[in-house]
Amino acid sequence: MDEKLLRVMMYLPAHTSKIIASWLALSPGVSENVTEIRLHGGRPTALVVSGKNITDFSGERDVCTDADLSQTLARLTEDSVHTYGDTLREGYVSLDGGYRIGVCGSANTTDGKIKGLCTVGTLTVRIPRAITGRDGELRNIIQKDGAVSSALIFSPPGVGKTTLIRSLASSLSRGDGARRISVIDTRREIYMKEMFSDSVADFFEGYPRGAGIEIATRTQNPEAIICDEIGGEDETRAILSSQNAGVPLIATAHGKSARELYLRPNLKILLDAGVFRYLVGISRRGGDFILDVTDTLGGDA
Amino acid sequence: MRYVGAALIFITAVLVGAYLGEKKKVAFAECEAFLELFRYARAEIDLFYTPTKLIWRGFENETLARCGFLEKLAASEGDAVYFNAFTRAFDETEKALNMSAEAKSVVRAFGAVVGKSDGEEQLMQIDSLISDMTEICKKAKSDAARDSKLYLTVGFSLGAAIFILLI
Repeated sequence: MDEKLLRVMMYLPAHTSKIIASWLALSPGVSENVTEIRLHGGRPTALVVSGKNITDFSGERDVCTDADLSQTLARLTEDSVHTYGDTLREGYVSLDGGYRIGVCGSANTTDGKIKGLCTVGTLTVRIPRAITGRDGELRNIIQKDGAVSSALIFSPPGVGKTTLIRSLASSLSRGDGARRISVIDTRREIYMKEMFSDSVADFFEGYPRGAGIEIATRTQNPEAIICDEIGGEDETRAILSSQNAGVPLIATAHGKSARELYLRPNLKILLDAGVFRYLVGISRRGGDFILDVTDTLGGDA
Repeated sequence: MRYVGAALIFITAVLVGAYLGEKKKVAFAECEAFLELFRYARAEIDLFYTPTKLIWRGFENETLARCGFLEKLAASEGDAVYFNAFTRAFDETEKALNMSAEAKSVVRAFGAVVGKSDGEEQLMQIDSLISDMTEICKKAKSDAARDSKLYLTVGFSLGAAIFILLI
């Protein structure tokens, strides 16, 4: 079985691991394409395989109880749910190795702000994947003129933006011609030890994006900054400021098309300011990535 | 020979009385030790958000070290999946503890709470358990003071009575 999947199976309820493992044993080659495991309290467990949601495991179904979910969350956090309070309020916890677990349920709020979770209803475990090939293509495009150019990578959720910028960050910061890349890894899901063991990239793990971009610009003398999922007000200000300092940014954002990006006020400010030279839409056909690159300066991408 | 036998029975009765009294004192010391551990863990969670497996590193207590609890707790630190280490360590050392069943159930409840929810919720539950354990400690202290004297007196009296009967 795929190693990344195997590691996360240790944390799941025993009955869930057993059903998934048996099903994968009967379906050779599938485990490498599992991108998510979704546990629902009182409802069927689902595997996302190449974009498809699978709940029927060779005639068997798996249903987790609320206690299963609480215990799984406790195992994932090494029995330290309290240390993940900040990220839990934002709906996720991260594990070493780029795993991100989306958490939702019944929230405890005060004055409209989430104070914590009363019960956990769903755990979505995302399996980090490395891709090869497309990141090389993209790397060549954004380094076409010698220096790194800014790029905004967009797609709907779950297509592989994080996977792509992880691969890009790794390939830009390794080997001959390695570049000083500062990676703002707010959700701790970009860094994977095996991909960055010989890299010169600097990681700002857990930093809020705006603060991370500002500190990286000021202190690390980066040749480029990489940041996942921009679109907030704070980071917009920080990005505009770092662009004035001449540090190119490679970022990702949710969006189906370039037109949709303009509908988001903060992204519109950045796009109107000409922050990004390249707009890179990504989609998937089967297990393969398709890049749709637009050069905003009108060059041939 | 009769005198020797009577003396032996007397000494044994006194020693049994003293031993039972000592067990009560140890039970009180164990309750206090767990109460100290609860307070320590609470501070670590409240002030530093310390990950659960690291909470126990800085904690020292002779009573819990002697019964092997702290060693068992530390042994879980390297587990591939760190989960329920407190409860497991307690299960493995429970038989060696002299605490009352009520005190043990509070310790078990602490194991079910520590690390399992966000900070605020967890602190509320720990506060409640600290309050329960404080009450148990008070009772254990007065029990220990009263019962240790009682057991010793009963042991002495019984031993003396048998001694007199035999001679």
